[in-house]
Amino acid sequence: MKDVVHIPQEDLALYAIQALAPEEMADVRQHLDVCEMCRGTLAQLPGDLALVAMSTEQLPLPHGARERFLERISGEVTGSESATGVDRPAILQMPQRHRLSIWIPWSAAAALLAISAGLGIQLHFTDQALQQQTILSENEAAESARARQVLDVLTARNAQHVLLTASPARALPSARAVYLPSRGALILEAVNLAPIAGDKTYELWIIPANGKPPIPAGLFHPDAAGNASVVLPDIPKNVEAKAFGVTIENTGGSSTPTLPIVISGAPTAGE
Amino acid sequence: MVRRDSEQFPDGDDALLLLVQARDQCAMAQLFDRYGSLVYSIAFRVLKDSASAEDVMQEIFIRVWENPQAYVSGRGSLAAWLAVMARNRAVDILRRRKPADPVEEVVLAALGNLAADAERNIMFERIRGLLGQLPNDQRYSVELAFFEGLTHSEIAERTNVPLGTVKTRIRTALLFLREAVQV
Repeated sequence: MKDVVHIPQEDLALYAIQALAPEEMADVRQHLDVCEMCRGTLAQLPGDLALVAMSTEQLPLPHGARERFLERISGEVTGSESATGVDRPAILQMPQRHRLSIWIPWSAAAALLAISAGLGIQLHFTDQALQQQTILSENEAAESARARQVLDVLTARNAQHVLLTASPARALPSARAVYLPSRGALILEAVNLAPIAGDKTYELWIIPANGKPPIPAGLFHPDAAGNASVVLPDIPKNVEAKAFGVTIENTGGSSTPTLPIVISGAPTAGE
Repeated sequence: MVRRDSEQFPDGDDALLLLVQARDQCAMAQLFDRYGSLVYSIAFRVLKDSASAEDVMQEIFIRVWENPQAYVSGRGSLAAWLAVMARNRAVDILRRRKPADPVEEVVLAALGNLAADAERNIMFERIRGLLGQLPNDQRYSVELAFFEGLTHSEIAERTNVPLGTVKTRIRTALLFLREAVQV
């Protein structure tokens, strides 16, 4: 039985990152062609090249690189140079000199090919432009049809014209108070008050101008129409009022107002 | 209808490549947006020249455009495949040599789905961090081999260490990276 010498793992790793000398690379490649075991070992090197490659710090692309690339693919570049890169490095291609006579028929053929390619590219662009025009035309036709429909509806003789407005809003609650401090007399007439629960009551307050706490000035319930009144509640005399307010309190009233204040107002004239 | 919005494209590379196979230029542009910077950066690191690096990048993406089937998804991520193509092509140019072995022979990176920006950036950052954890001599040897395209004997000469040591350093470094990524 013939002994087979396999490639050491170290060398396979070097092969994987192409760090062997060219002749060694060739030897390994030759061995790999016939050795399934070494191919298997190589296949287990999970992308060492990729790992190292991806350690590179990311740089922004040069200005216009994206546009240049898009231009190339929109022109359907099929170049034999960098695009394939199989035969030789594109960047290293060097012109070679040959006898003119040899190149005449080839030049003619190349010229014909170039013309054909040019016509092909032109045809491609024309085709693309035609497709875009078709799409644009279809869009414009659709928009035009819709505009005509709108106009037909607006100008139809038998169309019904209806004016829609907002529903009448519920009138806001308000009250008018007449107050005579020297007599301790107060009359309040309130309208449009919202109904309240049975265990609640409206309460009127005098807010003194001297900064003292609000003074309760009577409890009341609105009728079904939202009207209510407070007539001559039992309040102290000679209290200058800065304002009046109405709150909603629990049945029986409160010694201090509970926010929010439903309605409020300040005296404008009088004593 | 020509699509312009990148959100209309599938997240996965495989699906995007199918569109590229159908000659969808917008899909190809999307692919370029995903990996253009990666490919350019690798080529630039090797060649240290912006124009040459862009040539490599353009060449690689044109190759994908013309032959998207060349990428076999079962053998690794598209990012890895492009990264290796960029490196190999750049090194070929650096060393003025013919294109090396087909990349398919050596790439089997299972790095997850790198189509998403976030995942890609996390993975790249992680690999950079891992490379930074290597002892200096190991990292230097790998970088000389990888980004300058030196052979192990050239590295031995340049670093003035025995050939066996260079081999061991490179192998140990690659093994570390491989195992760390798989964790």
